Amino acid sequence: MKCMVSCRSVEHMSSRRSFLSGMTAGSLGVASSLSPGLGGVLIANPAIAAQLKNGSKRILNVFLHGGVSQLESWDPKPNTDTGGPFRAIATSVPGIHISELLPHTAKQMHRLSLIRSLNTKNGDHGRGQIEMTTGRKRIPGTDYPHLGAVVAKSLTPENFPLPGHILIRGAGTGNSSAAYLGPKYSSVVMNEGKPPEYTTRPESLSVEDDQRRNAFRSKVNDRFAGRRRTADTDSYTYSYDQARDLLAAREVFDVTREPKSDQERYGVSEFGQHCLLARRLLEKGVPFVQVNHSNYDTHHENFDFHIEQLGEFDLPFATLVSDLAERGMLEDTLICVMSEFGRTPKINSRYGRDHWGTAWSVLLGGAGIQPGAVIGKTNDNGTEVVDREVDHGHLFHTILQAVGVDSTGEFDVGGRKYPIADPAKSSIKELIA
Amino acid sequence: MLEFALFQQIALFRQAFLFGIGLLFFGAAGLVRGTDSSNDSSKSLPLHQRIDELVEIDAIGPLAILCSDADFLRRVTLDLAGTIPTVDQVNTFLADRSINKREMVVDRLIMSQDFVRHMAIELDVILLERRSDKSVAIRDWERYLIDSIASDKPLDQLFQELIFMDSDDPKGGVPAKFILNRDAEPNAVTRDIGRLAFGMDLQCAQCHDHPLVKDYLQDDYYGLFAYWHRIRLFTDPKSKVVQLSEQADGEASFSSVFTGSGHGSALPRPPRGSALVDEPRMIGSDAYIIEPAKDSPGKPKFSRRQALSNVLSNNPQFRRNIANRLWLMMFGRGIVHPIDLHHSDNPPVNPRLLRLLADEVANHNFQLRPILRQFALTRAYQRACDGPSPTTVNFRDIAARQVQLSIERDRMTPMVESLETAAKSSKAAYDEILRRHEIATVKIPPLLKKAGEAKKKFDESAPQIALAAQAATKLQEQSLAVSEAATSSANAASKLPEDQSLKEIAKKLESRAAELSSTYKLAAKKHSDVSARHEATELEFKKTQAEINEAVREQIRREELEPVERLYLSASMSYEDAIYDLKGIKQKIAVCDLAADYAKVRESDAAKAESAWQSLVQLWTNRNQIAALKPLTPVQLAVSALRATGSLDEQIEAARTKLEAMPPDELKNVKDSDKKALEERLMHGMLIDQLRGTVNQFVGLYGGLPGEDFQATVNQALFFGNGSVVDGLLKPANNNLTQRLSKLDDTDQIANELYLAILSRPASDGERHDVSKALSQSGDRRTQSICELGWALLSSTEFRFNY
Repeated sequence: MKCMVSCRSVEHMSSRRSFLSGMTAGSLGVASSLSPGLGGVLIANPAIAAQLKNGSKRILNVFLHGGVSQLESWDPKPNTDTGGPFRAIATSVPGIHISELLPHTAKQMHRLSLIRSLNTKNGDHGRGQIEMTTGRKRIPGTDYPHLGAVVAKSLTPENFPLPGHILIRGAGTGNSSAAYLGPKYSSVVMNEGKPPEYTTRPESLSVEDDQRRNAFRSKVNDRFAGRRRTADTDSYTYSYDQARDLLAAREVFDVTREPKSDQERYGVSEFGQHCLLARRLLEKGVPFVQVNHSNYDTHHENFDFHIEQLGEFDLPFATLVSDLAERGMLEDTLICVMSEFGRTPKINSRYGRDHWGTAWSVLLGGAGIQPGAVIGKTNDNGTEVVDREVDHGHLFHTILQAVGVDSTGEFDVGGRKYPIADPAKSSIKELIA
Repeated sequence: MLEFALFQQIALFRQAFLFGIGLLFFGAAGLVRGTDSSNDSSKSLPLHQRIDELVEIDAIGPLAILCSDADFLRRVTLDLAGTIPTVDQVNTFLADRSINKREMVVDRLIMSQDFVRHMAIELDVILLERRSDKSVAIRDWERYLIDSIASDKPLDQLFQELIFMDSDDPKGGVPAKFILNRDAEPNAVTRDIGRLAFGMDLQCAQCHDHPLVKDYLQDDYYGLFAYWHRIRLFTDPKSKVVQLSEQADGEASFSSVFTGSGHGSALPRPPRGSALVDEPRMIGSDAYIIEPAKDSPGKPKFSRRQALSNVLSNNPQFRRNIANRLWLMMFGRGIVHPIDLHHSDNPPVNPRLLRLLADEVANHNFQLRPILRQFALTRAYQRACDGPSPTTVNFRDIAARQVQLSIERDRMTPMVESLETAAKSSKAAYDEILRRHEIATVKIPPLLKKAGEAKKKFDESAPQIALAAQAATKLQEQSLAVSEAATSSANAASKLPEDQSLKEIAKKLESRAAELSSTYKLAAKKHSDVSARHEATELEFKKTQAEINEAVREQIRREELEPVERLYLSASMSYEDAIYDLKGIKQKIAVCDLAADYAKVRESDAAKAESAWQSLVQLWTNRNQIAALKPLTPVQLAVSALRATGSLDEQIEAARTKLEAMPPDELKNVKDSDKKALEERLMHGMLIDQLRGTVNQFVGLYGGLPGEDFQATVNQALFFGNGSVVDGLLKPANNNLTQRLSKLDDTDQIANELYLAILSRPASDGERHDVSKALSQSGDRRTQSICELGWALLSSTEFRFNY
């Protein structure tokens, strides 16, 4: 895997780096003024330490909107009162069975693992989406950063020209919030897989025009830097360099540049193309990519809908897992498939299943996740967790630790400390290889 | 740089001198109330001079010279009017030879309608933090803020209104937007009142004592929460209008998710303030002016919100917070920073200054204009932003300061420790008395409920008695009448023994009389039962009431609590002041240490030296010895870009024309003398509305709230470079900047106009040369080239920051 590092001069970058690190020590010095001297002011920053150690790790999060049924996917209960009509099939891991709706994914199971004992105690879409992606209990009046923002802040290599947190989804609005981590880490959205906003130069502006005006901008900036230069002015001028680099690399966002054969393998569905796009972005080193797939909210006709939705999901997803593995990227890429919650074991009168956070499943794999494992267990008809109950808080710790981020550490944002993950929770240690 | 060095020498001399006085005063006053610099002689000085004394007495190392006139005008116009100055304003100011022209410009700006508009926007951002708009219409809210600023409404009053406004308006008035926008969710409101009114973000103390801030306890969170526990959103079933409702009862209880320990009843108590112990207790419907119902949010006789709003003005933490937030507005960094983390591990950079300002904010009646005016007149505010040169720094002097400061620190440490012990023991006594109070208090809510039920039964049974009595009486009368009739008909029948029908009638009457008599007996029994039940509920009600009175008697009286509380509050305040002072000294020592580190590696290790130097410059900036670079807020950035390119004037014209064409009634009815001011105010209200679309694009991308760290993102740069907004501002049209400049021939003139319009200063020789070169190479794309130059200046760091 290669980073798309631009042609910036070595001198400029190294001076910037040392300049910024100097600033960091200084501003921390104010916060912890009790420890005098340069040596004393550097407080531990696990996030940065993790970043240095694991600069190349990435996360792919597939979010199945509406709440996928665990019984039609990762935790089938055939021939029970709750099991529904589908069979369970064997996977590439002896002893692990998943729903017959996922035949392709079943063949990738030796690269993946399941958590079958989620109890998130929630059946509300909005809350489920927030809690699953932030790893925290939702508290009114408080916003926590999305997993993507946490990962972008922790794992984006310095001078990386692309956004660190990309959300690929169908038509819609809004983005994934970075909360207190700041706008730098909120998601850049690829609506319907299209390139992010403002990545196309206005027609009236040629490349040369743009270069000329930027050259003049640099001149103006250099003059001002002679008066005063700070970490803020540096990061401001750098954002324009980054924009230039991003524009130069903008074909990253263009999935049509992938070979025809690959486009065919991933299929013509929107989700298929989005998976291929995710592969493309991950290959370029984007630390966090989320692909949304809608819609699993099957209060009616649960079984028909799952045939349709998982039918669309299965092949592209399995292809992506297999491609990442074959390219040697799975060692550094964590894959997660989550929802806001699962669905009720009880089948309602409209052949639907309703919202259910009491006993459901999530799929993980890659990076530091032990492959071929199953964590936890539900009872015979899936109505409760009987072993190793966990929730979104544990999952959040586990995901981060599997990509080398010390989730028990803190972020220091403007002199204010924030625990990276819920301090009352911990990781699922046995799942981390 | 010579000027710089000279100034610094004077400053150092001054420092040494004042420092001596400081020490003397320090020794005399002791530590109990801290070491406020405001000794008697300085009290007669204007506030801005007293501020400068405290800043300069605490300065270690260079003090920058005052900034240039051009820098000053841009800075103060951005800070007080929210935009860069116009070209005319720059030219006039630079040509003005008056000695007091800076003071004059501050006075002009502070009385301008731009000030009102800008401050209204600032307040809006501070108070609503760009939450999505709901409940009260945004225009009504903006008008409320504009009117508040225009009328110099004291900030304590503004906060009081946000917390509680007694209003006949079913929505609780426009200020209720503050609470309604937070869905009247008690935890959300508690957190934001903690942050915005008291400068304390207690959020993490909601579920347990704060894990990272040892001063913030779960008790503190729930003390504030107890004021808000009783509020709810109420949606009118018919109109669907969302309103605020407040219950008359309900106690906040909590337990720690870590330790499980907690309290059954949290007393309402603001940070650094008195607990609410003498709350009136009323039962059931007696507790309400209007009882809550399905179609009414109700109105309690005693409102805890109102109780909180009443104690704000005199709360020391509220004063400190207001002082700190106003300082942030002008200086770009709080004296306590981050601004909502006032606690002992995040001490103020200048403790005496914070104490002075907390007092002075109150002395200035919590009004924005007079305080900001004083801030703008300080040397601290008017310093240059230019980075100092190491050659101007007297490192030997700093080393000497270090020795002095270390002695001071060592002398102070044991005193602080003894103050800490005193604070702790007074807290233990206070906690103890509060616990006694709590034990009695937790008994009350169930008793109130029981009493309420008994009263309800009692009230219900009263009409039942009357009904039963009525029924019994009626039956008695009937029974009597029929039995009399039976007797006389029996008599009649006995007189006419052969009359069968009469005999039958007599028999019928007799049996009817017997029937009625037994029904009457039942009714009489029912009457006596109901009466007995009525008396029993009355008895129970009285008994419960007695129990309530007993529990209330067990509660702590205000008189009893007061001395313990006063001791606790003053001991903890003394300790806090002392620890702030001690940490203030330690911060100064840290500056000295850093300077020494720099001096050590200056020759030997260029990289280390550079990093130490940058840290030093940052510390000097934080200590107001050098002016900070403040990033423009998204609104300042948008409005300044509009002004620079000529679009703002166009918008103002449009608003004026519209106002003249369709004057609202209030403008028609106003006195002539007030007409102009109202017209201006209305125009600026419309301007906010007109600019909303453009401003929101900037807000969406540049985000950021006051006091937050600066972040530059690639999205912003892409928006600025490729988006249609900036492009649209620069395209020649409607006599805008580009169009005007493209009609000029002289490249020097173009350069000057360009720099004046965008960077609010004339171009230098070198810059004129650059512009002329760019234009001469442009050939037939001259207008395009002017656009490019305009873009380059707008996207420059110089434009992005307030320096």
